Amino acid sequence: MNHTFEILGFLLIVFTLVMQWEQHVRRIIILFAASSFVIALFLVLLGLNRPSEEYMLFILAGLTIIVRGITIPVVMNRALNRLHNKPWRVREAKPLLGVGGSILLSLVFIAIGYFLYQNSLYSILKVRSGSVPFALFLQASLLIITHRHAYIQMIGFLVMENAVVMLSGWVFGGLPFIVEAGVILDLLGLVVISSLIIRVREHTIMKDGNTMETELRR
Amino acid sequence: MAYLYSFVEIVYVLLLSPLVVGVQRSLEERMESKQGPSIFQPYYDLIKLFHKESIVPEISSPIFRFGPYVIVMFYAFLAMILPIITAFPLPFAPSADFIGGGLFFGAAAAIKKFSAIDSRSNYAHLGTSRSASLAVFAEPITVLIFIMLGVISNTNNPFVINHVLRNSPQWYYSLVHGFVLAAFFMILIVETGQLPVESHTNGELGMIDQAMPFEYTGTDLAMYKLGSYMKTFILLSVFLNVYILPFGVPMENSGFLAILIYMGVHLLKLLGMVVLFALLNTTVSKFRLYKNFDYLAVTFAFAFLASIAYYIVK
Repeated sequence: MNHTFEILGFLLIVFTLVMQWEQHVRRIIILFAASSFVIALFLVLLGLNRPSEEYMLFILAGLTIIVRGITIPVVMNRALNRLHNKPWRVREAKPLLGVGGSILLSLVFIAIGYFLYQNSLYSILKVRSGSVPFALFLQASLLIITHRHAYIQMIGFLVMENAVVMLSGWVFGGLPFIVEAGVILDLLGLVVISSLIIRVREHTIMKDGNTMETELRR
Repeated sequence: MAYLYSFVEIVYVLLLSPLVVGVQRSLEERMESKQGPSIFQPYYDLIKLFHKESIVPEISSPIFRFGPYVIVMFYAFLAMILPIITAFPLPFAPSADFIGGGLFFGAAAAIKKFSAIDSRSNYAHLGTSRSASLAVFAEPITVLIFIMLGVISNTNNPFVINHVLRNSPQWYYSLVHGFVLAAFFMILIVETGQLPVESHTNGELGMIDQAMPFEYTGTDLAMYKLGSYMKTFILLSVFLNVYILPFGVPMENSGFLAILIYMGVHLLKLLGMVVLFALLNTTVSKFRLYKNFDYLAVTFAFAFLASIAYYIVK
């Protein structure tokens, strides 16, 4: 199971690196959906490996697929379609840091995540691959910092939560389901709030006559 | 006998390297529903060029003239020290390890640039400048990739690395190997000038390697082209024999027949890579020039992740 955790964890790190590389919002949304499916796969495998928590982890995997894998990407895509004539062309036009720079910084963050974990939780948990969610968390924070586009920032936040779910599922498997469900509810709340913000923005755009793209990039 | 193997290896690389390029070009055209050139077209081109007179710019120095010959010499030497048709070291193999081989590749690339600049052509300068700015990032990544395999096998010897990967499933199926493979494949695309990094056209905005031999003609150009074919052949062979499919390469006690059979297998392996490159070249669009650096950053990321993965999985 340790090996599976490492492979899927690194796959998520690669997905996040590709998100840094990618500029088109729609493709980043697809990458996020793919990473959510990876998390769900991980939870299913974890459930098969831990019969005592089987049902709890299966429910969590199902919720992850429904909420993060399908609902959030679909809602974001619909919002994109509503706001733009050519939604597939919506992209981060001026990231704060160039792609090359942000990828290099991302690597530095991965290394920092590794050293942070090794010098803190590793002595308690004794699981070397526990540093993967740490790295993912820092990478996601970089994704938020380096992008101006609201959608990408939101995805950065969701990737952060993916890292939390991964760590909690792997390391703190015995925690009550309510804690993990709390993360899902948190996500639901986020989606509701963001959809509200989008509606308010849309209204403002219509009222003030500003172009949609300029408004979205503020 | 070992010297005979060395001789066979060098002849094999010299004779068959144009074929690999010919097959790829023909395949690309056929994938685009065109008739395409014969797979032997690079041979016809070389023969034609060898029969032509070389014209040398008046203001160039001897570097321009000797460059292509030295490059072919370097690649011929590399053919003798790297595992191409054998998994055991041939007589010249101890003269350089993996890092040494990398340095030879780097030296050949540097000579290529010097001789291109020496033509004083604006196009050659443009290509050299682009090539150098890519190489300055690509070369350290290549070294990092070699170092990571060195870390796995505790050696820099490509033959030992081949043995370790074919005999240790825990390393062959490891994340470290996966990331190294991905990074090396991406570097191969840069080094062999495939899309999305470079297209084989003379479009001024994107050409890199196409621009460098602009002033070369006749025999000199033939040697220049032969050097490029050999480089592609050797790099692909190293990728196949050491990194991705280290299995089946003949060991010392296998005999000459096994080496002959493996040559056929090796060509089949190369054909697989050529199909992959042809697919890439017909489906992927070219990056704008400055986007190539983002591509290299991702390549470096994979090589770096290999080292992080090593510390996590070891």
